[in-house]
Amino acid sequence: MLLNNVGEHIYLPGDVINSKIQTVCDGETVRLGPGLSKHNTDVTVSKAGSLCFGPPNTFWIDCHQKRYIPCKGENVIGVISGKQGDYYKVDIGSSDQALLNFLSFEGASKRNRPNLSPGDVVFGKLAIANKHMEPEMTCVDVNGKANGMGLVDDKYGILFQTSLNLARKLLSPDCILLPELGSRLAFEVIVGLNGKIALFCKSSAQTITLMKLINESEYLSNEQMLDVLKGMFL
Amino acid sequence: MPLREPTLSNLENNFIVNAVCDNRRYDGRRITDARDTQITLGLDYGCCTVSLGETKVMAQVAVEMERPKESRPSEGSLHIHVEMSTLASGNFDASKPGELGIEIQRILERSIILSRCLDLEELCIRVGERSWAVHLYIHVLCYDGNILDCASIAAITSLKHFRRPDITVEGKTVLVHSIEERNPLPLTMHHMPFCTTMAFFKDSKQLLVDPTRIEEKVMDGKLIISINNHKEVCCMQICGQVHISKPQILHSTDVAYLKSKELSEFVKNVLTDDLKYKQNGEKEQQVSLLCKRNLHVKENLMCNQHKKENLLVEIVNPITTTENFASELKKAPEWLTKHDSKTVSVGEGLINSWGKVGSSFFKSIKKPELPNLESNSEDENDSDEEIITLNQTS
Repeated sequence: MLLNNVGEHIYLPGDVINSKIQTVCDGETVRLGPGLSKHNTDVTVSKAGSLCFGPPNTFWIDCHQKRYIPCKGENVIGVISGKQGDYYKVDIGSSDQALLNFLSFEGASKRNRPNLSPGDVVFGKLAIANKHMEPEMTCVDVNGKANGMGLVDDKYGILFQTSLNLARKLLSPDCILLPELGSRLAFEVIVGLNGKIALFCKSSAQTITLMKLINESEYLSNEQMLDVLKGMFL
Repeated sequence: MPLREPTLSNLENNFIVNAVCDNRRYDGRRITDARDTQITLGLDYGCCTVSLGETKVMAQVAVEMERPKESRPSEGSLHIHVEMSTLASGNFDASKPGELGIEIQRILERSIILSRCLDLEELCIRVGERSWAVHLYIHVLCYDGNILDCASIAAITSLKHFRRPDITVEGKTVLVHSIEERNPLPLTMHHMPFCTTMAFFKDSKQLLVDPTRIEEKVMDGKLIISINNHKEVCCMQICGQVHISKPQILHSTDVAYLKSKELSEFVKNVLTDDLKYKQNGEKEQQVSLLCKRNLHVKENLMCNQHKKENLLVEIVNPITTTENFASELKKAPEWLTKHDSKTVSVGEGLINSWGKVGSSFFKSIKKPELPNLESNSEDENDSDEEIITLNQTS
């Protein structure tokens, strides 16, 4: 099981978890994920949350977070906030705005530039993300195809911000919410790993209902989600 | 350096405007609904926290003695201070109040001081020599639109809740009695003006009560009406690019009046309940919640802050511990289920330098099951949300 939330215990910044790690992976190389850091010989917690373990040797701290920290290769939704030289500035919810080159769109060339204006919503992948530079986005894959990325344009959609946990939960194959909803209702949804979700339904009433449902499913188990859905669609 | 405000997308903008045309709002409220109002009275006199949805404001009243103004020798004074820290929103600047802060402070001054709802003459101790100066501090704790309505409820509640120390005047000496010595006295309030903000959309044709942060960004402009439950308008202000007709203003005044009537009833109930609690010797901090809709009913948040060492934290999490989950826990190594004895270390996540402190705090964190989720129609898909109950153990 990938998202193995090990125990109900909450760790706080400063806790040393050497002994915990040794009980699971003794003498092996371990990978430390978000919220864990190494000080000399100690593994120290730097975020408040629960400790997670992913086989074979990865540990991280899971916590409720809304601030996005860019990570290379993640799919994110951003809002264009302006232009700078050959780049669009994109607000992806991180501390720095991401850059998006005019040429990083399918079929774009020096002459055929995309025409985006501030406020437009784009879905793309982070091509560069490190702590010393501004993150850079791209809306094409390695073959130069859009592959679903690019401008998100629809009349009846809404963009809303959720916690990063919820976005990851919705995208995880274990979560049944979106597939189950899809089997009962026609809608389109784009989930960015930065917690932004774009949702498109046939009517604004449906959109509002689904938005509330998605927001409230953060702490629901699969069984509970099914109960809610059964209640809704009876 | 304040943070940049998140960029508003065209999707949100269009959706909100289109939904408003269908008399809908993106958070499921009706157009004249305010968000859930919650008042938490503090232990000190004149302290209260009011939340309106996610918006949260704290108010505290304090008095000091001063020499009255030359122009009004027989009156005390009321000063309103509004603090908008970066705690509320990253793009507020803590060092200066900003446009919004000044606007809120000015409207509160007009609504509370200029409407003469507080009897200032009663605050005079010796004409021309000594009087009470009442300071009302408003702290914005969390910003999700419509700070003003929230702040006006907090201001009125804390002024009503406040008790000043009793005094005896003997010749030229003024003797201030401590609370233990003599019962403190309330301030005299003639009426309770509450502000209501109405946002206008679509060339001022559509009106929304209690706009959220996003709605405030999308709106054309707003109309603020401060009105008391005698239907007397205390202050009215129009901001932004709106053209409001006479019938619209009359209609808005009616809406504001209804809301103000409801709120003054609510505040009175909160304060009488608090008095009862205090008379019974219970030191429980009291929380009251005004819910207008069945949708989104949150359980009361009971918090008790006066004995921090004896807090029993009971987190009722909507995740029911299924058998599957429980058996998984059993399989896990022992340390995973046991609570650690480490405590908080403040900072960037360096090594814990506090040593071992009692583990009773963590042991008291329980995770009981929650009753079944209720969900019926499409509009009422609301589930019970996280309920945190803090009780005193002793």
